[in-house]
Amino acid sequence: MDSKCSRFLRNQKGNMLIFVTLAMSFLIMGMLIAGSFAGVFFAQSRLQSSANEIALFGARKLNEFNRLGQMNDMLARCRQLVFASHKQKEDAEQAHNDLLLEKLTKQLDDEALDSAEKLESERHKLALAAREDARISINQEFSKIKDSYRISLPWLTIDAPDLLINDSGSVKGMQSNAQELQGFEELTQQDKSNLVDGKPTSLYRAENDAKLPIPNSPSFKFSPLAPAVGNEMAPARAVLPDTFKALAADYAPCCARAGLKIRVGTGLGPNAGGNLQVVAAAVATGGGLWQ
Amino acid sequence: MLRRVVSLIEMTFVLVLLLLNTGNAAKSANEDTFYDYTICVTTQHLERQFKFKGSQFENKIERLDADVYDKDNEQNSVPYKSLWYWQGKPLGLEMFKHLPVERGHGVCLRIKHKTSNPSEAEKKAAANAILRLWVDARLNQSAVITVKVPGDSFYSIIENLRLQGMDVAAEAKDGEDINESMTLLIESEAIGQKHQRLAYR
Repeated sequence: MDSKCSRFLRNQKGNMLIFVTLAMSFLIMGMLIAGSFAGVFFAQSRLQSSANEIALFGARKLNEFNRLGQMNDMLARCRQLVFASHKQKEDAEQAHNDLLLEKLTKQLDDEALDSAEKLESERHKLALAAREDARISINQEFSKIKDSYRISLPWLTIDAPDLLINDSGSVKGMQSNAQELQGFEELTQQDKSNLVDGKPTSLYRAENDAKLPIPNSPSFKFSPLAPAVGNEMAPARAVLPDTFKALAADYAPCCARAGLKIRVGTGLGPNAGGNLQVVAAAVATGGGLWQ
Repeated sequence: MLRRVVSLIEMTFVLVLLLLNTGNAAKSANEDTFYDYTICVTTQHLERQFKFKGSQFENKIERLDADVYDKDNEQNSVPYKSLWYWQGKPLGLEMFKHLPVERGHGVCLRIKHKTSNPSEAEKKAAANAILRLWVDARLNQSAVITVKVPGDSFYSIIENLRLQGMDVAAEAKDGEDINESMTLLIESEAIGQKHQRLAYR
């Protein structure tokens, strides 16, 4: 018995077959595991790329046709109009003893105040419209890409992604694109708190109601938006998701954010899988040149 | 002899007529050039403005640029201010400098349109701009001697001024004191010149 056993153990015929079979098994298993990880890595990379693209589509919609830039610019001009009209009314009351001139300046002042109210109403409407347009655009782009993700292989399964985050806001440190208007020295002096110092001109602070130093001043709420650089508008571009920040609903957003989640399984066991999650953000096209 | 007398009378009559017209021309010429500065306002419609769902401003914005030059020397104009309008209502202002008109000097307001086919909104905006520039001049103690507008816009601008509180200046009745300082003479820049004096009431 022992001799048979020992003979069997000493017999080297067929050893290579066993060794090769074992080695091949380990190799194949290794390749499957590597393939699974590669698939997961590929899914992560592709998911991030999709999220970036979706966020960019949303961001481009925000300042379409430079509507946000135009609104900020007009706020700055309306502010000057209201201030100028008020100042003229005061000058007419104080200096001229001319009732008709006082009446005319009051008429023009009331007109300017009505315009400011109208502009504020349109500004608020635009803030809501911009958010909605970005949200719809992100949803549409997501719908186009989601079905292309499904993969079902023995070693890798990828489900269709879910859109977890679809919102818009601002970016840390972003101010408005509206440049300081310098026609009235007394207003410039009092405007220090409403401006961000810079050269050659200052910009109005974003998320700021730059009310005038006059009684019952209307609101002038500047939204964040990248200013023009020289004669060029800053293009829509991806930004680090960490720089995204929420924005009060009353202001128009300048940054779109998209978050995707996907379920990935490696097929190596009933619980061998998990969720991949990515977030991307993109800022809108900057403000254009004044018109 | 009789023929000579008749022709002499005819010649005298023609001479008198000529003298009268020359007097009138001289008077209007004096009135035309009796200003020291011109504030020239150019109106234009702006394209691709405020495009968003529900926008009431979309493609309804006009821009008026006011430049100042002395008398009729348009080559020496300097930018004074720009005004933005929505359907003839002022929306914004950008002031470039304080009114570059010496105190007490006469001013002519001149309206021009950038295109040969201005919209009604441009004309309405021009009427409002006339009022605002008139106030600028008045507070600078400068008189607006005349307002010159394009011939095709004459009646529209007059009508819009009337809608904004002005009325045809009436002749002074006995004992009535009309405030001459709140009247404007509107003239058309065209052959067959039209003019109308309006008063703010």
